[in-house]
Parts: sequence; structure tokens; C-alpha cells
Amino acid sequence: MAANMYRVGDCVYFETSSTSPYQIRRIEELNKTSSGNVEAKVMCFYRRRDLPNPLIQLADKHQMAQSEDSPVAMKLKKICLKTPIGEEQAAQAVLDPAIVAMEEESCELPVADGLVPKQRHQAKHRELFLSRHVETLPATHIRGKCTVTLLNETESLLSYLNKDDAFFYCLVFDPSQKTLLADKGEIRVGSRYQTEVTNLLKEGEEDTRKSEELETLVWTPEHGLTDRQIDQFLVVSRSVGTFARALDCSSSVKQPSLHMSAAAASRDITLFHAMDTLHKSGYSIESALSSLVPASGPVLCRDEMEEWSASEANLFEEALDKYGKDFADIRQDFLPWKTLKNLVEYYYMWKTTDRYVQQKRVKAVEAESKLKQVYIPNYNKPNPALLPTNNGNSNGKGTVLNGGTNGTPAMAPTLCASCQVTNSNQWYSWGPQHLQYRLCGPCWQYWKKYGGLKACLARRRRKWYAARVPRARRTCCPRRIAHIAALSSSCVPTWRGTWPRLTAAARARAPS
Amino acid sequence: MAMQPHSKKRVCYYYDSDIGNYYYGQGHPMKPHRIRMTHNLLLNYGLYRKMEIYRPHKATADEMTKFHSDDYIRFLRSIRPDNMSEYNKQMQRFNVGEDCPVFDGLYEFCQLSAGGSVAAAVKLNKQASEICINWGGGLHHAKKSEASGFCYVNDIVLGILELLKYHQRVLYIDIDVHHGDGVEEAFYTTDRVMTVSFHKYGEYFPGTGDLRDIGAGKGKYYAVNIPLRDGMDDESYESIFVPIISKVMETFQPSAVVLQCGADSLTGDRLGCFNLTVRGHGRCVELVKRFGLPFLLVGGGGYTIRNVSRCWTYETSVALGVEIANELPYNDYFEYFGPDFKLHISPSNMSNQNTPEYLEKIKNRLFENLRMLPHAPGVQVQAIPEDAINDESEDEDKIDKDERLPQSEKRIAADGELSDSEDEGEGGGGGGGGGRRDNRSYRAPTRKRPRLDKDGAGGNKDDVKPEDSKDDTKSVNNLEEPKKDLTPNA
Ligand SMILES: [Zn+2]
Ligand SMILES: [Zn+2]
Repeated sequence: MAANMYRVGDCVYFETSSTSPYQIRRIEELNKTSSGNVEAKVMCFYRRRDLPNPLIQLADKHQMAQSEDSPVAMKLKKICLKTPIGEEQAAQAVLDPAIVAMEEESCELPVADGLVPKQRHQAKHRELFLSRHVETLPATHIRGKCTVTLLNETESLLSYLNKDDAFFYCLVFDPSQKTLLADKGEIRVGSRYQTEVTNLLKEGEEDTRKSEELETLVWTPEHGLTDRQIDQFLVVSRSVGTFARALDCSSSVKQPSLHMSAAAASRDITLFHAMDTLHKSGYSIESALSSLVPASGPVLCRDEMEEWSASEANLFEEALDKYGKDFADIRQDFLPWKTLKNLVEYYYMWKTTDRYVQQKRVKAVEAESKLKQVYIPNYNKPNPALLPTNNGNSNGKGTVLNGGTNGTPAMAPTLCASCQVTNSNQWYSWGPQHLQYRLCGPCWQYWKKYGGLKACLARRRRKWYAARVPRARRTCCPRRIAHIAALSSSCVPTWRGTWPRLTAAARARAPS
Repeated sequence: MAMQPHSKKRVCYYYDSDIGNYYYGQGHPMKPHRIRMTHNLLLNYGLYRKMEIYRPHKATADEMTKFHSDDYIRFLRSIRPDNMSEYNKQMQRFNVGEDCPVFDGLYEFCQLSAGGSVAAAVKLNKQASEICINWGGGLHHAKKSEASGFCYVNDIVLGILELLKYHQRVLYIDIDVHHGDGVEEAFYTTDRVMTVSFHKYGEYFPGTGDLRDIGAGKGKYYAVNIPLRDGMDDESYESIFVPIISKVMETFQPSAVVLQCGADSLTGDRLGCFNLTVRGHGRCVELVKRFGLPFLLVGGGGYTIRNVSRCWTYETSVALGVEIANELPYNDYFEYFGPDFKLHISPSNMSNQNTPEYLEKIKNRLFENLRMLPHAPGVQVQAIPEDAINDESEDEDKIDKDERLPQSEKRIAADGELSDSEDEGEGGGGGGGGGRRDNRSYRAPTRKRPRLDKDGAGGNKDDVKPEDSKDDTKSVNNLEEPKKDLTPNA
């Protein structure tokens, strides 16, 4: 159940094409549409295969350029460079000679990361590139959860390989500018940034700071009163306030019942005033009592909530409707006799009232379209690439049925193009149909999730290709192989929307 | 009766009743009102009466330029919503306008926030208090000549500069979900202030705080960054906070501590991504308090305001060493705390991406860095003094809800939480007492430690004295106490 509950913030697999690998997205919002469907606003992660080649090389170069004392940079460097340069990369015409030189040079480096070539190959599938690109997808296309974390230098890539559905990223990809950025701020050094550090006071040196100039005491716990006495005094203050309201004409209009007067007299402003009074009276209850009832009559403390008339309250609500919480505008056009502070204080108190709550209910109905989480059941429909099993012949050992004679499609050549097993419960057609590549169940799953073939490609595929394709058809061999490899990168998404520049201001709304 | 019967920490608390009415602007998540909400809770919990309450002065431009550049402060003093257009260029230069908007009373707001932290630091310097609290402070992103992340004036840096008059080494700890970059940058090249920040790192504001950022020049190894991932829960947090802070105390041996208590690391924060409860957050306060050093607590981030005020109220009670009921007392903003009206909140079901292995590796790397610090002579282990925090007699301190007159007209049915609609994220549910975590006992062992006591009861001769703290070699204190690991007691 929990596994199928997708929350805002989760990283998930999305299936947008049955034959391509899943897309990896982070859910930013879940919205219920008018038709009752749930749409997910998602942020895109890109795989290595989605990036133009020169950028991949840049990314690897960036890792190399990272400070030498960063073990992860070292690790990545090795990973990226020790993996046989894919055919598709070799086919890339334009290469920065500097990068090529660097790569060739680094290829000589001994492998010291403890990864076997296959792991190094697979680690590439776990690298993603963060983007700020946002799109909207139907939530029903979610195919499971994954995690994407910023690679930390203390982590080994093995820790990702050892965990299903775990990805890492180091860089941010801008799909419109086709650039990569490191998402890292910097602490600046220089007299414009650091503070001058105060010296310790020397022996006998006088501290010019005087607490009396920096603060005013409004309460001390050294008052000699018991909790009970304070509580009693608070009750008395409220009683005085209630009586004061009874005497006050405007109050008795607002609070027609004794009960309401008492409630009004129990608001915090009366209590704070009572505490202040105690303090100012030197914590003598007697003297505090007399200042609650001066010659002018019992003390009446009213906050904004009580101060405002019903018509002012109506004006405020009307203004709020019109301007939202732009209090300066509200003041100017609706309540010029109030100060901005009056408005803000009133606003926060007004939010505790029934009237606000009613308004909130209306809003809540609107907000209902915004969901916190959504339940998506496991997706059970067979993938169209799944080949029909031939009554128990699903493992069809060694039987190779080449192209049917009377137009029936070719039966699966039951050799996995990735791991080369011949035995699997399920076979999937992979790649262009005419090439008749097949993947076994686990390799298909791997391909969908990680966007690559589980096994180290190049050599194997060459071998496989040599074994499977008649010599006569091998004329375009290198190109064909490049094509196979390129299958892994043929699904570069199209970019929509605008691309916010990565500036401090453009980063997530920021906080303290 | 006269004095409090127990040796408790003397707590000074700074608050200006104007603070809640500063308004960053429509839709802006930073709401000074949360400080007022905290204040009203403190009153109605009866914590107010147990502290020294101060109204801070307004820090002057002179005080602010102890850190900030003159032209930046001059700019802050002059800019107003009605003259903004004349300051286009400067607004850009000082990064004021977007995240850090110009609002009515902006400069005064900065003055109060900074005034509180400076006054609090002076208070600690004079040994007139053991713990000072300024929830209006903690604006840790502000730079020397630049506003950032809703912060304009860095009250923390100003407070620490004050502490440095009396303390050779000051420790700064930051548990806001964001990196404490402003404070770190200000002290990046000095070995007299160690900054330790626990924060979400990676695709997150402000983008600094990598494990590899360790300080520069003389300050190398004096910046400690703990980069974390989404979903930190109480247990994970403590598992990294405890060893790091213990090791920092042991190796750096500060004589004063500043803790930034940004509450955006709580579960369900509108801008945060951690999963801490109020207890887990407050646990950090409790742990730092146990070291018995002069202690300044400041606020910081926190954007689901009902939880921010819950958190800071609880942390005030922790500072005081007073237990408070889970049932929230009635107050002017009571309705904000529905539907449960409880102090404590439950974590959400979000997944925690910080695996124990990840945290372990981070920890080990940081330990390696801390080993590079020169050791103060003659002291090996930083003791974690046991605290009298929960030893106090029960009946005296159980603060009951103020039984006020019925308020039924004003109460609303508990049918939904009150939030700032578009302003507030809905996360967290904001409550749920009775959860397993709420029953967890944080009760310390019953053995009480003699400690500095203003009333003369059980003063410890070796506790830090004002004269001592001026002296580098003597500034290490309370190491003589029974050694005890900073591990949970239960
Ligand atoms: Zn296979
Ligand atoms: Zn923050």
C-alpha cells in the first residue's frame, strides 16, 4: 500500500513510451483535473543517454577537473574513462581535441576503484542530471519509485549499484542552453566577505557595553509571588476588564452578553497588561490592583480584534477579496484611517474567526484539486514489446526460427542481446523490429529502469552480432553496431517551456 | 514563598511586541507573526513568568557596521517601499527586492532582531544570565554587504562578535534546514569561531555547505558542514548531531555557544524537506544545554508558522528546564493549532533518504577533519554534564492550562487546521499527541549535578567565571564532571 502511494517530492519512474526506458521525474505537484484524473507536475532528470555527447564528455571532464583531493571525482573519472568509449561516441565528429587528449591520457590510469568493468559500465546508468525543466504527465503513467541523491564524496558508486532504483547526480543540465552546471554555491574569501574579528578584552580593559542601554526589563522571575498569586491576579484583571466593558457603551454594543464581555476581557492583551502592571508595581499585588482601577475608572485593554467595528470588518473582508493581502493597497483604498500595523495585527486575529474559517472552507474546496499524495496501483498490463510465448516453448532452447515463410513474424531468436542467456520466462523485442533483438525478462526490466543494457556492451555485442548476422549482411557492420548503441540514446526528449537561469535568486525560494 | 526551589538555568528572553506586525508582503513565506504566536503561547503556558523578559533596544547603524559594510546599512536605513524606484541599482547590488523585499518598517525590523541578539550576548558576557533567547534573531543568510534568503542584518554574527570580547572560542551550531552560509562566510577565515551547520544539501538554497567546505586560512577546519538529504527524522538527526557536537566540544572547546534554531527543519514545513518533530528539534537544544556553557538561542527559518511557534515554545521550556503539557493553552491564536490543539506533532510518512551508512560516512569524514584541529593542552574528553533538566519537582512545574472563561463563541469546530491558505503548506498535519514518539521519555538520570547557581546553592568552584572566560587556557570548563556520553538517556 505504502509502496503504491506517491507523494509530492517522490522520485518516480514514468512510462511515456512502452519501448523506451522509463523517464525519471520528481513529483512537484499532484493536481486533480476536472475530469477526475490526476496530473503530476514533475521535474525532469536526464540520463547520460539523453545528453548530447559533447556534454557527456564535458561532464566527465568536469569531474576530472575537480580538485584532486576529491576521491569521488577520481572515482568518477575512472569510471567514465575506463568504460570503453561507446561506438556512438567514436562516431561523434566534433570533439574538443583537449578533451580527447585528456581522455586518452587518463585511460592509462590504473583502475583503483575496486569496480569490475561490468560495475563500471552499470554505474554509468545510475548517473542522472538534474534539470529545472518541468512538465506535466498523467499520474497513471507512474511505474514505481526510485531515489535520486546528490552524489556525496564519501559514497562509493557500489552503494548505488547494490541498491535497486537508486540514482545519483552531480550536475545540473540545462536542456535549452545545452549546458551543464554544478549546483554549488561558494563561500567567498576576502575582506569584503569576512568580518573583522573582535579581540578579547585585555586585562583591565573596560567593556563599553552597558546592558542598561541595550534592553528594558519588563518581567523578572525574582518576584516573590507564587504561581497561584499570579493566576489570581490574572483573574482579577479579567474581571476588571469585564466590568470595564459593561461600563463602556461601545463595548456593550459589541458584546451584548456578559459572557462575551468576559471572553473579550480574557484576550491576551489584558493578560500582558496585567503582567506589565505587576512588574511596574514592584510585584506588589496590592499596588498592582490599585493601578488596575485608577480614578478614571477600571482599565480597559482592547486589541485590534475588539477595536474594529463591524463595518470596518466588512470593509476589510471586501478589500481582502479584491486585493489579496496587499495591506498597503487595502489601507489606501479601503481603510485609510488604520495604520499598516493595525491591519496586519487585525488580519492575523481575523484568521481565528468563524468568518475566516468559512472563507477557508470555500478555498478548501478549490484547493481540493491539489493533492498531497496519490495511489497508483501496480501496472500489470503487458508491454507491447513482450513476445507471445509459444505454448510452453518460452525457453525454446536453441530453437531459432528465422523469418516465417508465409508472412508470420519471426519467432523470437531466444538469445538475450544483453546477457546472452537462452532461458527466460519472458522475452521482449528490443530495438528496431527488423533487427530482431531480444532481451530476457531481467535485462528488459534493467533496460527500462536504467536505460542501458545490463551487460557490458561493446565487445559482447560485436561477438553476438558476428554470431547472429550472416556474413553477407555484415557490410555495414560498424555503422550497424553504432546504431545499436545509439538505440540507447535515441530517445532524447524534446524541451518545452522556458529555462530559468541558475542564479541565486532563481533557486528555490529561499529561506532563512 | 520566595525563590524557586530548584537550581535552574537563569533564562533571559528578548521580545518586542511590535515584531509580529512587520509584514514581508503578500505571499511571502517569512512571517514575523510566528514570533508573536510563540510569545502568546509562552504567556499562557506560564513560562513567561519564569524568565527575565526584556524588550531589546533598536540596534544602531554603528552596531550593525561592526560586521556589515557602511554603504549596505546606509542603504537599508534609507530604502522604503515609496522610494524604491530611486534605488534600483543599489537594490540589485545588495540583493534586495525579490526574496528579500523592501517592506514597511524593514530597517526597524532589522534593528529589533539585531538588538535582541546583541543585548543577549552582552548579557551572557556579563554573566548576568546562563541562557539567552531571541526568537526574533537567527537571520543566518545575511552577508556583509548583501541581503539573502529573507535575511538583511546578521544578528548572529553581531552577537558572536560581542561574545568574542570575553570568549576566546565561540561555537555556532545551526539546525535550520538551510545552510548557515552568512555566519559561516563571516567567520570563514578565523579559528576563534567554529561554525557547525546541519542542513539539506543538493539542489537547495543557498547551495553552499558541502562537506568539503571546511574554512580557509587560519579558519581551515573551523567550518563544519553536515550535508543531509530529504526526510531526516528525529532518530537520524540525533544519530549525527550527538557524535558531531560531542567531538566538536571535545576538540574545539568553546566557552560559549550560539544555537540557531531555524524551525524549517520540522516536518511539514512549507519550504523544508526534513521530517523532524518538535521533540527531535528540541532535543538539540537539550543536548547543547547540557554542556552548561553560556548559551544563546536564536530563531531563524520556519514557514509553517503554527509549528514554528510550537517548536520555539517547547524549546523555551527546555531552556528553562520546565515540563509543559501537550495540551495547548488557550490563547489569541488558538485556532491556528487545530484540529488537534496539541503542542507536539507527528512525523509524516515521507521516506528518509539519509541511510545510516550515509550518515556514518559523513560523520567519519568530519571526524577526520576535526582531528586536524590543534588540541587544547591537557584535556582529552569533553564531559557531557548530566542535566537537572527533568529533575525538578513535578507539581511545581507542571503548568496547567490557564482556566479561563469559556470561549465557545470563538472556538471553531476542530474540522480542519487553520493555515495561512496559500501561504502555508499543508504538510505535517501539525499534531497528533499520543504517538509513540510522544511517550518517549527524555528523562535524565536522577543524579543531579552541582552547578553554578545564582542563589548560591551548590555552586561548582570550577565552573566558568567571568574572569576565567577571558583567559584562553582556562576557558575550557566543566570537564571535571563525570564523563558521560552524549547519548540518549533512555
Ligand atoms: Zn538478459
Ligand atoms: Zn531556513
